[in-house]
Amino acid sequence: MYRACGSFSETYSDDMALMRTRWQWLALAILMVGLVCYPLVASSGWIRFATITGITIISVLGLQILVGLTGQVSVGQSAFMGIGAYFGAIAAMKFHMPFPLPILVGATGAAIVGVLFGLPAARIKGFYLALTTLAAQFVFQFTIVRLPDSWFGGSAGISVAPPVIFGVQINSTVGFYYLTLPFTVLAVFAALFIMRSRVGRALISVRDNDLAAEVTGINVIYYKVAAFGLASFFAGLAGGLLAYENKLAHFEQFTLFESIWYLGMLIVGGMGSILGAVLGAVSLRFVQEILALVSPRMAELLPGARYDIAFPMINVVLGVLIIVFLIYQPRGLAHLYRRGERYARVWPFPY
Amino acid sequence: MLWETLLRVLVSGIANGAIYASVAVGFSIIYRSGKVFNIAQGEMLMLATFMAMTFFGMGMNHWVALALTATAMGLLGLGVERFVLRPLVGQSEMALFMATLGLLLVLNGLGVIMFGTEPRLFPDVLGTERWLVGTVSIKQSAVLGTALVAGSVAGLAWFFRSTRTGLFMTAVAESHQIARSLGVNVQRSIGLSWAIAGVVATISAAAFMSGRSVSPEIASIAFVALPVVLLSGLESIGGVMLGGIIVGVGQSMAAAWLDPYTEGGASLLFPFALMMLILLFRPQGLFGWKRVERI
Amino acid sequence: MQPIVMQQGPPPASSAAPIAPVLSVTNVEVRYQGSILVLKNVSLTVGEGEVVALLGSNGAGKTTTLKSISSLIQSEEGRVTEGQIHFLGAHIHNQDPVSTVRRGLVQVMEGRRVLEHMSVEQNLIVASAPIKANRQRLRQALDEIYGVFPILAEFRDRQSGYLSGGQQQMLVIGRALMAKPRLLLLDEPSLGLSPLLVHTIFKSIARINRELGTSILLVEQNAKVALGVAHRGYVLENGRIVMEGTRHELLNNEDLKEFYLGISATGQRKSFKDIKQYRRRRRWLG
Repeated sequence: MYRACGSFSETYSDDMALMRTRWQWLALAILMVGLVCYPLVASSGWIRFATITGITIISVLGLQILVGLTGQVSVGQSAFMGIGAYFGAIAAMKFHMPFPLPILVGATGAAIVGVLFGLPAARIKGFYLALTTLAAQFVFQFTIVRLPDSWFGGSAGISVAPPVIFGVQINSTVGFYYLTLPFTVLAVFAALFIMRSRVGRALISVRDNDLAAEVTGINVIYYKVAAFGLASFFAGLAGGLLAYENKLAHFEQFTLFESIWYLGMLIVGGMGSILGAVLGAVSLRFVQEILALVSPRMAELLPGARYDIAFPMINVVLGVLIIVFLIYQPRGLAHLYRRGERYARVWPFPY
Repeated sequence: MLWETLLRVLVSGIANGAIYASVAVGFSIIYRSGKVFNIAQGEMLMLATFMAMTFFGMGMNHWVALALTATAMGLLGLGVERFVLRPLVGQSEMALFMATLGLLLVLNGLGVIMFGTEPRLFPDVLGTERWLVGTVSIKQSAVLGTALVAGSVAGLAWFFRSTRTGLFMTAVAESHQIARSLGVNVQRSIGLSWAIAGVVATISAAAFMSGRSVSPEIASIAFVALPVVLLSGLESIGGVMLGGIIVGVGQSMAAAWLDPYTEGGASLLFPFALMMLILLFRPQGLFGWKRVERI
Repeated sequence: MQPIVMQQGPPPASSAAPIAPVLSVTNVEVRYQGSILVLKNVSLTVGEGEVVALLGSNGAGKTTTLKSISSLIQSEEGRVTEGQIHFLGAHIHNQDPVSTVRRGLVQVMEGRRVLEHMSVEQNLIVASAPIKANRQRLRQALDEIYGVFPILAEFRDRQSGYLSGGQQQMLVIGRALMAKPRLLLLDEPSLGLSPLLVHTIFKSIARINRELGTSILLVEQNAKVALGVAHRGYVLENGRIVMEGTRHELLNNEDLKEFYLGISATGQRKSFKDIKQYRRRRRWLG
C-alpha cells in the first residue's frame, strides 16, 4: 500500500482498513453503481460477457489462493468447477433444492473433492503436484462420461432449470447478470478477507518457505491441503453459477484448456494479489470475446479454412500472452496498475 | 483362449507402450537439460505428424518427407528454446513449467488452424502386412514401429552415456554450475536437447501414426505418457522403454478384462490412477535421480 | 599433533618475485546483486609456475575472489564492479565462464563437486569439453590423469557419488587437469578430509605444479598446510588483502603465526588468556 509521507495509521483498525480515504469510498461507490447500471447501457451480448467474466473472476480468485498465495500450481481448476456444476445440477434437479442451495452444495462438494486431490501436497510439491491436478482434470472428464447415464447424465450432461427466487423465475440475460453480480462481489471480499487474515498470512509463509513456516509453528500440511479446499470451493461456486447460466452441466465446458486459461489469467493479472486475479480474468475474457468476434472474418482470409477458428485463435493468443508476460512482466497487470497509480500520485514530479 | 487373449493384450500393450515411451523420452531429454517439464511434448508430436502429412501430400518420397520433418521439428525445438525458455533463465521451475503450458496452447492452436480438426489418414509408411499367430493378427507397422522406437531409445541412451557430447549433456543434467565450471556450454546443451526432442517427436509420429486416422487430438497421447516418464524417472533415458511397456500392457489388460464392466472407463483411467500412485509413493520413479522435491 | 608441512617444499628458485604473471588481479571490487559489497580493492598476482596461497577465515571473501576470477560468480548474481582481471594478457572478468575455461583457467569448486550420477571416467571425459579431442588424445589425457592419481584408474567405472571423500577430491582435481589448464584455482581442497588425506592431496598438488608446470592459486583455511606447498601467499580479511609475502615471510610473521598458525611468539600454542590483545591486533590488521 502506497501512502504519502507523513500519513500514518494510529489504530490497528486504521491499519487494516481497506478504504482509507473518502475518495476511495467514492470510487468504490461509483464502481458499484456502474456495475449495477451496466445492463442498462450494454447490449445483451456484452451483458452475457459480463456474467461469464464475473463467474470467471470467482474461479480465478480461488486459483489465486492456491497458486498466488500458497505457491501450488494447479492445472485442474476447471475440473473442480465442473464438479461444482454437476453437484449443483444434481442438487437442483434431483433433490429440487431452492436456488442458492444447489450452488452451495456444488461448492462444498467441489471443496471435498479438491481436498482429496490436494492430499498428495502432504508429500510432494512443485510441478509433481501440478501433475496430480492434471490427473484430476482427466479423471474428472473420463469418470463423468463412463459412469451410468442415470448418475451424471453421461455424454449428454445434466440440464438445469432456471432458478426461482421469491417466486420469480430468472431466465433472461439481465437476470443472470444480477444473479451473478452479488456472488462475484462477495467472492472478491471473501478473498480479500482470506488474504488479510491469519489464514492468508499462513498460506503466504508456506509459499515463501515451507520449512521456515513449519518451524514457526504453522501446520504446513494442513494449510497446503486447505488451500486446495478453498480454491475448489471458489471453483465449485463458479461452476454452479455457470451451470445455471448455461442451463446445462456438461464436462466439455470444463476442459484442460479452460484450466490453463485460468492459470494464464493469473499470470497476466499478477500472482498473489486479488486485484491481479480480477484484472487477469477481465482482460483475458475480453481478449477472448474480441477474438471470437473477429475470428470468422480472419477465417475467410485463411486459404481453405472452412471451420471455426475462434477456439484455436484464442489458444494461440492466450499462449503467447502467457509467455510474453512470464518473460517481460512476471508480476502482471496488477504491478503495472500500482506503478501507474504511484506515478499519477506524484505527477508531474518524478518522486 | 486365455493364452490368445494374453497374447493379444501383450501385442497391443507393447505397441502402445512404445509410443508412450517415445513421447516420454522427449519429456526426459528436455527435463534433464534444463529442469523444464515440457508439457507441450504431445503438441510437438502432433505438429510432426501433420507436417509429415503435408510433405507426403506434396508427393514426396516418404523417407525424404520424414527427414525434412525431423529437420523442421529440430529447428522448431531450437526456436522454442531460444525464444521462450532462454529469456526465462533464472526463473523458478514453476515459471518454466507455466511457459510450456503457454507453449501447449500456442502449438495446439496453430496445429488446429493449419490442419483443421477433421481426422485424416496417415499413409502406411511402415507397410500394411499382417501376420497371424494363432488367431491373433500382428501388424507389420506395429512391429516395425516398436522396433523403431526401441532402437531410437537405445541409441539415445548410448548417446548420453558414451559419446562426448552426450556426456556433456548428462553433466548439464546433473548440475549447470559444475558443467559450466568445466567449460561445457550449458546453453548449447539445452538447445541441443530441444532439437533432439523435436527429432524424437518425428520418430514417434513415423513409428505410431502409420496407417492411422489422425487429428490434432492425438496430442493428448502425451498425457498418457506422463505416468511412463514418472515411472521410469525423469532423468532416465533407457527406463522409459520399461515404463512404456508397463503402462501399455497394463492399459491393454484393463481394456481386455475391466472395460466390459466399466464402459471403457478402466483403460482410460488406468494411466492416471497409476500416475497418482507413483507421485504418492515413488516420485523419483524406478531409475530417476533422487532429488525429488519433498517436504 | 605435528603440523603437516610438506617435506619436499617448493623449489627455491621461484620464491623470488614473479617475472611474468599468469594472472593479475588489480584493484578488484565485487558486488552481489549490484549492492552487497564483498571484495574491496583486492589485488594479487600469480606467476608462471607458481603456487600462491590465499588465506583467510570464514567469510573473508576467498571463494568470492576465486569465483570472480573464473566468472562463476555470475550464476550467483555477482559482478566485478571495479578493477581488472588479466589472464595471459586478456581481460577475463565478467566474461562467459566457459570462455575463461577455454583460455586455460579452471576452478575446482569447494566441496568436492563431482557429477555424482556419472562414473569416474565419465566425469573426466566431461572435463575435456574445452579441448578439441579425438579418441586417441582423449585416451592420452585420461592416462595422464590416471598417472597422477592411480586410485582413479582403479575406480574408473565406479559411480562417483559412491567414492570416498579423498577419492572425490582427487577426482575433482584430476578432472580440472583434463583441460590442460595453465592456471588452476583450488578452493579448500582440505575441507572435511582427515589429516592423512590432506597430506596426500597436497603432495599431489605440489607434484602437479612441479611436473605439469601448472600455476596454482590455492584457497585454504588451513594455513599451515597451504604454506607447505605455496611459494607466496596473501591473507584476506573482510574482503581486503591485509598481508602478503613469500612463504618464508608469512611463516615467520608473528601475526600470522598467532592468528592462523596458532603459535605464539614463544613457540607455544596460543592461549585465549590474551584475548584482549588478540582483538586489538586483529583490528589493526583489518
